[in-house]
Amino acid sequence: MGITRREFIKTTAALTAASMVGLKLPGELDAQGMPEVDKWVRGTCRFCGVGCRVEMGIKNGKPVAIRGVPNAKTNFGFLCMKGMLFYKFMRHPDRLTKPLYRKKKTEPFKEISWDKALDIAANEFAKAIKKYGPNSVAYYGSGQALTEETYLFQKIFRGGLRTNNVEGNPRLCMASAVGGYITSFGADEPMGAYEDIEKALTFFIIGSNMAEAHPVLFRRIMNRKLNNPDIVKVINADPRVSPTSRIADLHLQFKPGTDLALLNAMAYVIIKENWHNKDFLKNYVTFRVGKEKKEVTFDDYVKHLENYTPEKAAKICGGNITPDKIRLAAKWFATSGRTMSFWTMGLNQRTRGVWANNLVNNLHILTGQLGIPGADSFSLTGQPNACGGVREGGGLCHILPAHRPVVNDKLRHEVERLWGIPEGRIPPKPGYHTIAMFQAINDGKIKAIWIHTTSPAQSLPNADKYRHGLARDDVFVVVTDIFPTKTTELANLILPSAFLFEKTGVYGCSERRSQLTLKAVDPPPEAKPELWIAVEWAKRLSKKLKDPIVYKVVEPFDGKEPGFELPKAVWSEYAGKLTKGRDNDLSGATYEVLMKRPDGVQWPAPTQEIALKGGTYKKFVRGIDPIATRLAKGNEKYVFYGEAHKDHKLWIWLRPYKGAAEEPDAEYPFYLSTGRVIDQWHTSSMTGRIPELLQSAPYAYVEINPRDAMRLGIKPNDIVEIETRRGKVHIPAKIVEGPMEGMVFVYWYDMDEDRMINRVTKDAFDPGSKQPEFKICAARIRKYSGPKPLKPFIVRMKKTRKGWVHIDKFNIKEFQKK
Amino acid sequence: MKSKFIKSVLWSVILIGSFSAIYAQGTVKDEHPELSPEEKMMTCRGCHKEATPEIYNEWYNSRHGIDNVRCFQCHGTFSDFHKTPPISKCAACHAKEVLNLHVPENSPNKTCWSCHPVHSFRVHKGK
Repeated sequence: MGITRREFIKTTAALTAASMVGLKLPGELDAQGMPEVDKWVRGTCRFCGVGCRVEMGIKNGKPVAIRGVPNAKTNFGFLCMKGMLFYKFMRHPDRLTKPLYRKKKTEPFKEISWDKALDIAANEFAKAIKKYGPNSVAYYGSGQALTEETYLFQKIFRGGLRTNNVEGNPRLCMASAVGGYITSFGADEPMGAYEDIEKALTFFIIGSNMAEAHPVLFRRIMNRKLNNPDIVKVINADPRVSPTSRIADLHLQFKPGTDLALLNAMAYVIIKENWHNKDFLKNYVTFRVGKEKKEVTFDDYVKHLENYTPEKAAKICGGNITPDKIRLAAKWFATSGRTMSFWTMGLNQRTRGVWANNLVNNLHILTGQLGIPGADSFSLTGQPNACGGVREGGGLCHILPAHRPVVNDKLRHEVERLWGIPEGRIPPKPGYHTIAMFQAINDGKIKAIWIHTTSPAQSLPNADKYRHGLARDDVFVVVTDIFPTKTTELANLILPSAFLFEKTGVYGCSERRSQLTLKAVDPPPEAKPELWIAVEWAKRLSKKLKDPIVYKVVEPFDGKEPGFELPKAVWSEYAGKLTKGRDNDLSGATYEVLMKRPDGVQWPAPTQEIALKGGTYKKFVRGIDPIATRLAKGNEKYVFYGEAHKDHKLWIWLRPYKGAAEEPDAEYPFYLSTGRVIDQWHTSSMTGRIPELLQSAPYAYVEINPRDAMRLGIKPNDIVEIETRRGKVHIPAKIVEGPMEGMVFVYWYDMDEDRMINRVTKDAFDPGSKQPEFKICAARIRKYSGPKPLKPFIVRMKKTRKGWVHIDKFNIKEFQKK
Repeated sequence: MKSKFIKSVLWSVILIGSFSAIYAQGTVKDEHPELSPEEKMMTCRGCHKEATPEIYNEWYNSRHGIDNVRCFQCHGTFSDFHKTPPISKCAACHAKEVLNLHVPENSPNKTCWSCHPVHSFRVHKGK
C-alpha cells in the first residue's frame, strides 16, 4: 500500500517540477475570480428536500459551474458537495440518448426511433387495458420529477385510463409524515418554515441525520447553536450517534423503535411538571384514540401516559436513556417557548410511523409551540419535489391534486369538472399503494408499468422479491431516466429523458415553497422532456383505445413548445385551476411571478399580490395566512381549517408503544438499520458519476459498534456477512461509535449486488401510511473475510454487436425462475 | 507500511508548501503525490488525520468541518488538485463575498484567506 523512498523522491521531484512550471487552466476564471460563463441561469438543486436555490453557469451551451443564490431564503447561497457539483454529470458519456427496446427481457436492447418507441408504449398499455382492464396498468413516479410531470402523468392515468394506480417513491420516504400531519393537524405539511430556525431556542432532532441528509439546513441550525451556545439547546434522539450529534447538548440513544415510549414519557413529564399550555389546549385541542378517532378527555390522556413514566420508558428504551435524561429533554422541549422539531426517515420508515409522527406533534400541541415564531413540528422531506410534486400534485394512489382524497365523491367530481371529463371517469377506489403495486406485479395482476425517475429495483425494501415480478416477461416495463440503473436492467423500453435545467418546471420543497427552474441548456440529442413524452404517448393511446377522453386530458398541451410553453401550460392548469380555493392554493404563483422571485412562493398564495411577496410563512395564523384571516370569526389567533378535522381543532393522540415488525431474537440478534451519506444521492446513479463524490464514498460500509466488533473479532475493512431472513450481503466494516451496541447501520446507495442492502431489508409497512419499515429489521453478522480490494460499482450500458446490454453481474434469468 | 506512507505524504506537503508561494491563488493545477488505486479510494481526511493532524483538527473543529464541507470541495481530487484552491471554489457558496473582494476599494489580489485563517476559517484572523 505504501510507497518506497525512491518512489517518494521521484514523485516529489515530479511534483516540484509541475509546481515550478505550473499547469495553467486558461479561461477558468474571469477577472472577478468567478468561473467564466456566458450566463447564469437560476433554478433549484436536484437533490434533497431543502430546496437550495442555485445558478447554473453556461458556457458555449454547456453547463460549467454551479453557485448558490445569496438572497434565497432556503440556502442564502450555501450549497452542499452534491449541489455544487451536479453540473458535472449532465454531459456524462453514460447519459441515455436513444430510446432502447427489447421484447424479451433476456435480449439485448435495440435502438429505435421515438415514433416507434411511443407506438410500442401505447400499444402495450392499450393491450393490457383491453384484455385485463384499467387496473392492469400503473404509474410509479418520483419525488424528483417536476410537479408538472407528476400532475400530467396522474391526469392521464386517472382521467384518461381510469385507474388510480398512481404511486411514487415518496411512499417510501414521507407517507407517515403525511399521515401524521393529517391526523394531528387536519392538513398535510408543516405550519412553519425554515425561517423559524433563526428564532428557535430548542431543537429536537429525532430520527434524522440532517447533517448529511439535509446539510444546508443543518448549517442553519449549527450556526444558531454555535452563535448562541448558552441559550440554544439541541437534543438529538437517534439510536446511532451521527454527524448530526456533533452539535447536540443531549444525545438520546435508544433501542430502535422504542421512541414511542420515549415521546410518551416526555409528554408525561410535561404534564406532571405543569409545563403544558392550558389556554392553548382549551381553545384549540381535542384528544383522540383508536381507529374510530373517538374523542376522549385530558384526564384519559393523563391516565394513558401513566404507562410511560420516565422510569418505565427508560426500561423500554434501553441504550443510554435514563429517567433523568427524559426529564431533561422534556424540560428543554417544553420550557424554551420556542422549540422546533425535525425528523425524517427514523420516524417515517416504520410500521408505526404515523404514530411516531403523532407523538412528536403531540408535544408541540401540548405545549402550544405551534403557530409562533421559532416553534414548529417540521418533517424534513428527502427529495426535492416529494412535497410539491407528489403530495400536492396527486402523485399517490389515494390523493388527487391539491390534497383531495380519492374517496371523497365531491372533490373527485370537482377534479373531473375542472378537467372537463365526464363525471365518474375517475374511479372512486384508491389504487395500489407501493408495496401492494409491486406485489400485484409479482402476482401478474399488473401487466404494464411506467417507472419515472426512480429505481425501485434498488430502493424497494426486500428488493429481490419485487425484482422477480419486474423480471417477468408478461409485465411490460417502461423506464424514463437519464442514466442506466438497476431498474433499467428490468425494462422493456428505456426512454432517455431531459435532466433539470434541460427543461422547465417547478419543485416544491419541505417548507411549502414552490420554485421554478428554467431551461438553460438543450438535453443530449434525442433525450426528451417527459411532458412531451407523456403528451405524445397519450395521443397514441387515445387512438389505440378508441377513447377520445384519453386525448381530452392532454389536449390543452398538444403542440406546445416543450422547453417552456408546455410546462407553463401544465402549471397554469394545475396551480391556476386545481389548487385554487384549496389549502395549498398556488393560483397566485404563476410562472411570471415565480420568475420574479429569487426563491419561489410558499402556499397558500391565492393572489399574485400575495405570491409576489413570497406567499405565507406560517399556516393557520390569523393575519399571516390569508385563508385563516378570511375564516376567522372571533378573536382567535389561529384557525385550524384543515379539511380532515371537521371540528377545526388540533388532535392529541393516545398512541401506545409498539415495537417493530421484526425485532432481534436469538437467531438474528442485531438490529439492522439503513441510511444516507452526504456524498451520494439515493441509488447513486447520478452522484456515482461525479468522480469527486465517488472517490469520497466509493462503496457502502456497515457501521459496527466497537464492542460488538471486538466480541465478533471484526476489524476495520474486514468483509462482513449480513444475513437476514431475506438473504445475505457482504459489506466492508467500519468500526465506529455510531450505532449502539447490538445494532448495525448500512449505507443504502451502493448498486453492487453484493453490497445492495435493500436486498435484505424488510417490506413490512405501516397499516395507515403504507410506508415500509426500512429502518428496522433483525440480522446476524459475522466476519466473512479479511479486507479485500473493492471497486465502486455503477450500472452502465455498452453497445455490442447484438445491441445494448447492461454491464453488471446481475443475471435476469435467475430472477425469472419461479 | 502505512506509517511510512503517511511520513511520505507529510514530507510531500512540506515540500509542496515551500514552493506554493509562486502560485497565483489556485490558477495553477497541482499534482498530488502518487497513490495506488486503493489509496485513492480512501477519503482525504482519512489519511490527513494522521499526515497533517494540525490541519485536520483546524478543519474538523471549524464550521466547515461540523457541516461536512470536505477537503475535495476546495482542493479538488487527484485529477483536479489544487493546493491553493481557485477562489471560484469558494464562490460556489460564497458568491457575494467573492464578488465583493474585487470591488475597487479591496486589493485585487485579496483572497478569502487574506483575512480568514485557512482551514479553521474563523471570522477573522486572530479572533
